[in-house]
Amino acid sequence: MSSRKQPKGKIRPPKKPNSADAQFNDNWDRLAQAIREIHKKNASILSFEELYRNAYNMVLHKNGDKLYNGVREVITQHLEEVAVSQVVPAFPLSGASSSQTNPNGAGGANFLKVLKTVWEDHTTCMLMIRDILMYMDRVYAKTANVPLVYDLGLDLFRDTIVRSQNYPIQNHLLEVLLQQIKLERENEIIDRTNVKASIDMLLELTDASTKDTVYATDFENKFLETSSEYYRVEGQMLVGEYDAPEYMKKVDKRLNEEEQRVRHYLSQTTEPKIRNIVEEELISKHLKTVIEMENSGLIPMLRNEKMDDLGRMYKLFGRVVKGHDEMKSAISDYIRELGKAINETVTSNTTAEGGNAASGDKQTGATVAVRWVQEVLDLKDKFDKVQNLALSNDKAFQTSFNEAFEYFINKNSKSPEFISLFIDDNLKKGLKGKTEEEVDSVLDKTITLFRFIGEKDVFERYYKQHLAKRLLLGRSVSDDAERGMIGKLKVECGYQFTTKLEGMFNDMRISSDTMTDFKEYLDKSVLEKPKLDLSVTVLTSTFWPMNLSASPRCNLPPELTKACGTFQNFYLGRHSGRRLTWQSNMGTADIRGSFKARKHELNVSTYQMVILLMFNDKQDGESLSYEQIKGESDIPEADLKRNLQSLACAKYKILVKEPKGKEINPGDQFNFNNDFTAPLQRIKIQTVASKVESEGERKETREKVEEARKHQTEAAIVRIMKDRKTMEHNLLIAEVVKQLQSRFMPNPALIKKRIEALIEREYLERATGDRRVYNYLA
Amino acid sequence: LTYSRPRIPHQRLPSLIHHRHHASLTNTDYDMIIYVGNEPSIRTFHAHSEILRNQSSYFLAALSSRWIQRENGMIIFRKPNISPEVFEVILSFCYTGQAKLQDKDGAFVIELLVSADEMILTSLTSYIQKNF
Repeated sequence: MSSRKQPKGKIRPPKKPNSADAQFNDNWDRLAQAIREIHKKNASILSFEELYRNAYNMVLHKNGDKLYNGVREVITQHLEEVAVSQVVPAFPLSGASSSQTNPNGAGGANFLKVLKTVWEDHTTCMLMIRDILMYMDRVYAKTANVPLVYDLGLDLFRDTIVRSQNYPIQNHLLEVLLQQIKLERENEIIDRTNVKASIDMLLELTDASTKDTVYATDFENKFLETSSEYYRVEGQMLVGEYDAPEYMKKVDKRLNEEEQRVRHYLSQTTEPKIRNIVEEELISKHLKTVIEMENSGLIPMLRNEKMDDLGRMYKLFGRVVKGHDEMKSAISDYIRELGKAINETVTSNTTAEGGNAASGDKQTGATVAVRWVQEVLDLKDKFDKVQNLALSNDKAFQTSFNEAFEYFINKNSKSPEFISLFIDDNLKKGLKGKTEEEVDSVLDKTITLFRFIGEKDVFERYYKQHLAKRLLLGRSVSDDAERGMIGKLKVECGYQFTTKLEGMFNDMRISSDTMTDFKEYLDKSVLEKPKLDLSVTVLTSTFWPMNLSASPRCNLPPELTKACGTFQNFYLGRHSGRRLTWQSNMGTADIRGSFKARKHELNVSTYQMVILLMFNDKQDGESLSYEQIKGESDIPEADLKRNLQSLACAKYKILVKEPKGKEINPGDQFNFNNDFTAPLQRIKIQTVASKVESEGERKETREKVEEARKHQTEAAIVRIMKDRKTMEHNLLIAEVVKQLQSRFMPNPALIKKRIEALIEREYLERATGDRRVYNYLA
Repeated sequence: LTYSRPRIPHQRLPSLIHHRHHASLTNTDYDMIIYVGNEPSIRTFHAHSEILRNQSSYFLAALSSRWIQRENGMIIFRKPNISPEVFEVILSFCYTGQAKLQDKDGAFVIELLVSADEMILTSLTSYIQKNF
């Protein structure tokens, strides 16, 4: 084995062959012997200085290549020996039976232990060999372009042990590693240090052709393949055996375990790969199945507010591409479904009570509206909670939830009216014992619903109507609350939306000033003072929702007419060029009634006052028929019926109706109820102020809205064209839609019609070359 | 493999030199004895192993736990193939980063260069190339 046996001709240098040759042989013999001693762990007898000097001299005398090759040979020989004497005897019992004969992988573990020792010995020896051959590394290896001696050792270990051509070490190693991991996955305790040692060894060895680690080329793919298969089987098994929360806990555990495994004894580069596999096999492939699990899937979790499970699902499913999308669409569908159910209770309620509603049970109508809004708010609360507690306030989920709410809220064509009624209900009812803060928070929530409404202009119309009634009938809980609400609307829609609403408040304020002035004017004037106190609210017609052209007729009593005249003179004297129209349907009156038992002060509507005053001229027991009242008062039929109902069929029966009943019909007879008693002296006769509109009224409102939309659309078109002068049809449509969509979603057909109307009125013209282009005509 | 090498602060270096040149017989904080040269002209040097480890990978390996040799608790290192005069310059350079070469002849400097190469004292090699 020693180099003396090499043929001398090969290494003979040209000069002083004998002495140089002898020198070389002597040096090399010592070194080879030293390396063997190192391998035998006998280094303590060796002198670093001497061995280093030997190698130094060889390199100095141009024998670097011989030294290098010699070292390679000695190390290879040693490793071959190690393979035969240590590694091969440690092979676990062969083949497929190994897992049966060694159920705990003990044979495998022992094999890894032996490898660990072999590897540690090798690296220790290589360090010492590197020390003494340092000069060879520095001078020879660099110029000869060969690996440093330590790296040479690694390569030799790779080829002689790990990838031995003579013994199936590689097969055993990979099989044992995978088996150990499988055992650990099945909750067996394995000796991780042994596995880690082998993995670290593979990581330190480099594949010559790919320049990648042997870990990556030999082990990683096999590991990923077996893991894939393992989790494919496990996924199918778990989905069949567990409910959704349990399944997710198992998956969570698996993901954790794999992460820990990588951290403890695999390469970090494997982490994303194995994570992907578990995610793919345990999450992606079973997304729908888990979401749709009966009694435990996503919907049952939502129904039972299982925030922990929902949160887990959110986190888990967020790991895979489609995960959140599937969750989102499932939850959105569920919201739509619940919303549809809420909408259906409303429609079924209104249709079921349809007969009654028409007959005047208006309060129920408002209740339906309030209940609808409350249920929607409750639903919103529920999903806000889910969003907050389980979904980390994920914006994407929020958007998709909002879309679902928007969808079903706009499915209910009455939602703008309902929401306005709900606000009305809250702003009217300081009575219900809610504090201002509570009301404010309810209104804040209501605003979130308001955002979902597509037809904000319809809402505005209703809001104006309801606000007008609250203001004129003095029903508002407080000015601050009203202004607060308008402030909120302003934030949502801008000042344009609320200028008219604010105008209404201004009118109220100016009117109270006007009334102070009017009283002073009366005190100073020589005119005969009216026999009654008149309080007038002057409304700017464009701000208020009343239809002035169709101002309701009503024959007022002469005294009142006279008082009105006085005010009219006073007012027009101050503001020339204005026109006053009396809205008798909006007024109230305080009148005194003498009944048998006592006198009562009655607070009634103007119409009710007109009706009651008719009975002043009648004897006891003398009755008036519906037709008589109608003819004499000239009150519009719907209003008359409602007011008669309030007087004769409600809580305080000032009038007695023949025949009795809840409905007012032509031919009914009315008597003054002299026997009326009530505990309070002052009585307020409720007129039904807010109510869900009847079909007829709804149609009317709808028409008004359509009319207003025409104007807004035309205004938008003109605005845009004035700015652009010339524009292509589709661009114009798009721009108009953009400008209007905050109020309502304009239909392109509607816009087209408006464009045509404007062409007819010569605001626009079609361009001469291209009929799809419009020009603005100044 | 890792071996911590605490740096000796520069301020301490002059005092160390002082000890070695003028009071080496009473100096007790060295941990290493170096025998340089062949019989019969072997000379003994005292040194601080830490300073040598810092100077070259040669000493780092030689004075590592893998190879270090001790007698009576003292690190022993033998360097027979160098003359004591040359080694004295080397040791001085290890402590001070300087070498007095003005009064040396060419043969001496060549021997110094060869020794620096053998012991991988790269900073000494470049020092000589610069200053001679």
